[in-house]
Amino acid sequence: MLHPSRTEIIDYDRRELSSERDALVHAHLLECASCATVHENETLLISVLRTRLSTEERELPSSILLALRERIAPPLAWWQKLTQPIIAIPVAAACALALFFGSGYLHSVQRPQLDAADFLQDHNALTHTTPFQSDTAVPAELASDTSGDAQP
Amino acid sequence: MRNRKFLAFAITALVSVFLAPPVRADDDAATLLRAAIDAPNAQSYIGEIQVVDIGKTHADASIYRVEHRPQQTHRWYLAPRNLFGDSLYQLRDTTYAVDVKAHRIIVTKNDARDDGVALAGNLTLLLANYNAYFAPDASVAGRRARVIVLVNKYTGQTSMRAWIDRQTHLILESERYNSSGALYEQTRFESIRYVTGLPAQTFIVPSGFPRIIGNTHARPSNDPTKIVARAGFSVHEPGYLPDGFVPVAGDISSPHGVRTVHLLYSDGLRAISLFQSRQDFHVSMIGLQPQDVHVGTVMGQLGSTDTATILAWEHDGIHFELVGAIAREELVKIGASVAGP
Repeated sequence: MLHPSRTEIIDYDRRELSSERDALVHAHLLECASCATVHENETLLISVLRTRLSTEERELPSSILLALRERIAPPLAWWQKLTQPIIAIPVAAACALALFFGSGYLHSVQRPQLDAADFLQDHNALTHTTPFQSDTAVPAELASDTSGDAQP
Repeated sequence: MRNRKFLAFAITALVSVFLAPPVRADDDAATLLRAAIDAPNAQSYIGEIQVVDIGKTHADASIYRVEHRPQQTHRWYLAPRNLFGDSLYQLRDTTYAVDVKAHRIIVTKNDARDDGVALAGNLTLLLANYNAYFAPDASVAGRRARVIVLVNKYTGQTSMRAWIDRQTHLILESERYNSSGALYEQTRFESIRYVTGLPAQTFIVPSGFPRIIGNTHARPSNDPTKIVARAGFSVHEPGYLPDGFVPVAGDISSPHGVRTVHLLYSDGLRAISLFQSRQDFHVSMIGLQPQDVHVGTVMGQLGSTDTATILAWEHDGIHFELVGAIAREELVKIGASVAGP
């Protein structure tokens, strides 16, 4: 008999070979020292792995778990999808922004805004009835041009 | 009580205007001040003026060339640099602000400019509240000037100093001081040349620019009691005013659709405006460094420019604004005293 392959020796150890092949490999391992050594190494390795597996609890990677759950779970209704974090968080943020700025906008729409400069102008206009009220050095109509310093 | 005071003052003012005996212009300070008010209506000149507005931390200067004949003035700005080339045409009660960079002319109208009776009346009020003293003569822009100092009778503070041309009575330089005695505005002719007349073309507003209609102020009533009666709501008045202040004018306007009563109080030189409205609105004080203050039992906002302070607050559904070139503490005290009729 030719030397059995490593895979065949593992299958032998797992009792997965046919009865005829199992008998031939068994006879060969009794006669061939090198194949017997391979068999002993594989038996030792499997024994170590079984011992580790029995003492440590290993978890599957999260991506594999998610994939498994998706395959197992029934599809979500549209309203259930809204509660998913990937949708719910941006929607909540958008609502918060809308409430913050929207309420201010609505408030400002309801309340007219008058500029303090309007009152200052009205004041200046009426003070022309009192003596020695010089005209404003820079009239308000041109004053917007003076915002910011001129560059040298 | 205040209304009776005002009527008495108004009658005194009118009598003094129309029945005062003729006196030479330089006979005394009061006569010189009257002549100074009338001088722009009698003189034509070309010159250059510098105005300095002095704030708490900095001063702003502007310089413009001026061409003037009675009832008409043309200013041409040299500084600040952002205004260089802009000009202003003041034709009786209408102002045309030519904004070259924005390529537009803003037209505003203020009928209060044309109210000689109110002006004369308020000069009488000024002379009742201020002592006028002569300081030694001085020279301004090469012209001999008499110097008048106006001192508040109640506080003893100098409020204004005026350099008045000995010949023409035009005010060549003026300094204004706030209630704490600090200088806040100086106006001075850097040069002046009197002329017999100026061509009409000088005062023709340029064409080719789109015109935008700005604020229009009708002639105010010189009887604030009439304004109070026409307000359409109960008008509140201050229980406290600085010594010498009385109501001198008022009007009703509707800026941005907000019906607003405007009462002007003055001691003849300084003025305080009280605005009030029953409609709800928000006052924007951007650029005025607003700060929160107590106005009596409510909170208000106080903001300032270099030359004036505004106090805004709301009480019992009424919005109030006080404006004036007086001390902040004084303005808050007046605001706190504003009560119902």
